Amino acid sequence: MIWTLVRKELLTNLLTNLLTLRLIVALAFTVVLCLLTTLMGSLEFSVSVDAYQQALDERLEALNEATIYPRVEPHVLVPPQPVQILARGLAGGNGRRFEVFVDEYQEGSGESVGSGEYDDLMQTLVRIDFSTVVAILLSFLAVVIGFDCISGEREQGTLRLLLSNPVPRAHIIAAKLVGGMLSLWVPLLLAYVVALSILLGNGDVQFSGDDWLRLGLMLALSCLVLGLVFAFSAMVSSITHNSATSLTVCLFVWLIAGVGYMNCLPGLTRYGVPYPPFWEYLTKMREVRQTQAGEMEEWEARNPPPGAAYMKSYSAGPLTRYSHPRGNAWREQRARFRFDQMLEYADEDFKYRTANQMPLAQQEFLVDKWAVLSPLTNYRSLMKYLARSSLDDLFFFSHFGQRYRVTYVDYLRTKMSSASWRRWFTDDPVDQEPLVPDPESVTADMLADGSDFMSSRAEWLERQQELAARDPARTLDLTDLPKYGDGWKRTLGQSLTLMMPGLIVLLLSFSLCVTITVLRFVRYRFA
Amino acid sequence: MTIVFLHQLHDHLISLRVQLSMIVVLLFFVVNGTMYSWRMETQAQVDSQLTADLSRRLDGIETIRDAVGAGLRVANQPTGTGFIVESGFDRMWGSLWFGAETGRIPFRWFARDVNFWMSRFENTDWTLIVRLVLSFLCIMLAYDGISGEAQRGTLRQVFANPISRGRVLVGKFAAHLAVLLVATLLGTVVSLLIQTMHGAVELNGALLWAHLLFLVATVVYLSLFLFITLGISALTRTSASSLVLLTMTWAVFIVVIPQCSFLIAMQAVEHEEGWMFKSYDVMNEARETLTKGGLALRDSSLAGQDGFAVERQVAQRIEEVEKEQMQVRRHGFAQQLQRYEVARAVNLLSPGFAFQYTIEAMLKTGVAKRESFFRQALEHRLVVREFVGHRDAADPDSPHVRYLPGYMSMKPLDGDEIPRFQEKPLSFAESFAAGVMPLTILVFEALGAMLFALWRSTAPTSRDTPLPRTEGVDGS
Repeated sequence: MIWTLVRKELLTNLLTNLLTLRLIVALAFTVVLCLLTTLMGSLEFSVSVDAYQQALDERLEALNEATIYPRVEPHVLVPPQPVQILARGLAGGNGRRFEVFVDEYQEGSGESVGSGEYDDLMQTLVRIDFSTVVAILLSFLAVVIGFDCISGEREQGTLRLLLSNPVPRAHIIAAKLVGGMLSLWVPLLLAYVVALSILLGNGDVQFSGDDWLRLGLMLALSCLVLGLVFAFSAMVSSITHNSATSLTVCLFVWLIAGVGYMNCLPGLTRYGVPYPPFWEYLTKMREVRQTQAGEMEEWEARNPPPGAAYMKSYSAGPLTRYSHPRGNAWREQRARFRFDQMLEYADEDFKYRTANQMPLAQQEFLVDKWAVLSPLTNYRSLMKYLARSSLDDLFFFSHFGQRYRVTYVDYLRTKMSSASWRRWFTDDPVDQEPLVPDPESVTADMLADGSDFMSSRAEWLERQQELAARDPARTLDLTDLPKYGDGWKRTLGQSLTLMMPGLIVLLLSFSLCVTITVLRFVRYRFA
Repeated sequence: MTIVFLHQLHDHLISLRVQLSMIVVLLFFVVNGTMYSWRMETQAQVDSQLTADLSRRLDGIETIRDAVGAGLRVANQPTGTGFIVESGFDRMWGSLWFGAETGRIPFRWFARDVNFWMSRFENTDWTLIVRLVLSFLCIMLAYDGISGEAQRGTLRQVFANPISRGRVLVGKFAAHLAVLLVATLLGTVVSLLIQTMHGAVELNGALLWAHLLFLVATVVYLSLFLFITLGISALTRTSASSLVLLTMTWAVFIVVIPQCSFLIAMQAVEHEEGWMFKSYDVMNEARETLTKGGLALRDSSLAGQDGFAVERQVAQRIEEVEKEQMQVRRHGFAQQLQRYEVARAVNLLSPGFAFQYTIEAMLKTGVAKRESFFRQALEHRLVVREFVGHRDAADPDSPHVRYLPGYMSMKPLDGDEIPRFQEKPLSFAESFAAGVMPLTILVFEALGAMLFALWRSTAPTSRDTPLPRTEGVDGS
């Protein structure tokens, strides 16, 4: 019997009502919008994939060309995630990069690799995705289907008729709820299938097994939140006396919980959390830098370089070539000292920077935390967790990058035998003839720019540079460079743990609405 | 007409809908007032830091040579009406770095007050409240303005009176508009009150003028929605259909289209991402070529022997490259603007943004302000250069290699003498130029809506015969 009633609800909602203007309009809008937003998201995703590929190629080329360690700078570079097209969040379907430097690392660093990131004008625009369409449009549809599901029948007088059947009231209301939800889930499923088939049509989009699970959960979550909005409207409908009041109440709640809360919450947290001025951090770091420069000077005063002729070399950035072995020995000492200093600087920098910037992160974390208060914002932030596009996921990624940096520093330390140490500043073979082969026999005049001696050495240098360009022995052997695995993204289990509070609130409020509706309906008496 | 107006007003004042609407509107304006009070504190902090930083830089200047080499900063001044219309001011250029030195044209920019760890959101300014919330309330209040009365059967009574149908419509319209305007006025006053109590704003003539302009634009915008709503309400058979049709249209035009503009503009305009870095590369390459060609800057004493011939050559070359560099940037900016213009054009499909851009133009902010600020920053650099060049020319001992810091006068100079940047606000005509299109669109849309509503309400419809159905909602 209950299924007969479900069928009746479904038929009234989908067939009778579908033929009415309201549902046709709503359904058409929903599907067309999902189609449009996903199509544009998918096109933009392809741009992001190109940008990622380009960044990757550049990095690989840099690695191949690196002849000294400071030029290696391995980046943790991760591809754009197609799931994020449905819930853009912070990542917005762009790839991410963690730049590994010896002298710098920071919290939440994960520069976005994609389009429009440097364009301040485009930054002012808000972007749409599937989760917005569900949270604003489909939730509205849920209100429209739910607001008169009880009061409407009462006003039309059909409720009396329905109750006169020899069916328990609990069955009738269960059938009403199930039928109503099914008639919401059908357009949702339709929109979802349309969205997914558009994504699958794009060759750049490749879903892994984990992605499919997440996509499934996204659908389930969307069903749950629409069910909740419907159950809430049904509850209001069972409490109020007539449909008009019910509609008014439902729409105002929708306006405040949806559009209103969605827009006000970020603004309030943005300016409600005070944060220390960035200048404080900059001043602090300037001081640290000065202290370190002082230490360096002190070190150089204690260990003076062996004299200009020994230091004469070709140099480009951190790279020096054709220096005298004694000059190299001094540089090696200096590089050792500098290495530890850079690590120390990085730690100091991290400490101050984090203290300075965490309040900024706190602002976004608060948005995600307080989002539970409204099912629609809650839904959006849960979708972000599922798509791994939240700030929390960015931090997860940057922690991974920091761990990789530690691995990389350890790797550099294993290369600190004196044979490899010279690779900090030169790619010369050990027996390379220096620019000034016999420093003892040259005078300051000979070393001056433009002197005959230096001009003749310049010709020699040019030939050597040509040879060096063709010398494969100079490139670094990076075969044992530590690889980073798959740990840069949260596993599904981790994401679900993160989602737990929000999910519990959603489920609890859903069951609360259903319970109240059922109780009201079962105890309902006709006047 | 007055009778219809009063009748409708009376209906309103006792209805749940209107009471709720008032509360909602007030709630939003309270959020606005609170948020911008907090915001102003942050802003004041940031501004004082900007000023302190500049003073520190100027204090560090002791000679003319220092003045040439110093990195200076100009700040984009807030309009003071950010709580009325923010227009992305926090994300746009807040300050620019520049210097008198050759090759130091302004570009490194900093957003004034932005948190890149937050998902993009729109600040709850007055314009947003009107654009999103009040337009929705128009629909909520008036969706059953005619269909509801038709369903209840009271419309026939109204029409039986010796009042023309057009007047009935106008009366109803005026009553709705009055309620919404009162709500807006109340809300804006509350918002101003909260901010004044926090000391975030100072009430003055300019602010009242801005407030007035805002209210006028609001009237046009809300009329558009009320007329459409009444027209649709006369068109559809039941109030429920009217509501669904209206809210769906609202969602698409007010929420969805503006949110799609980013993606559409990204697709529509081919944009080179690396132009900023490319413009730096141009200079780096040029410097490298100069060094390779033996044109390296020399020590002052050595260079003095041949009258700084090499340095002069270098300065000239870099000056040329600077022009080239500026060309690359101009091209980049132009593309950036072009892309933004596409987004703007898409947004103009939404009456909400016709309203938004009208207000932006009236209050002299938005992208036009950013452009004007950049122009002024470029001009200011020339002023500083001229000032420093003039001082340098007065010193006979200087090598006069303009403008390479190492080869300019060593005479003392007080940093405070350097001309300060004073941003001139956009002139009304300049700013209004950007608003002509949106304003025209807005007004024409409102007129169109009015004609539509008049046409629908005066056309003989099936509503004149009694309706057999009573399905759906009635508005009581």
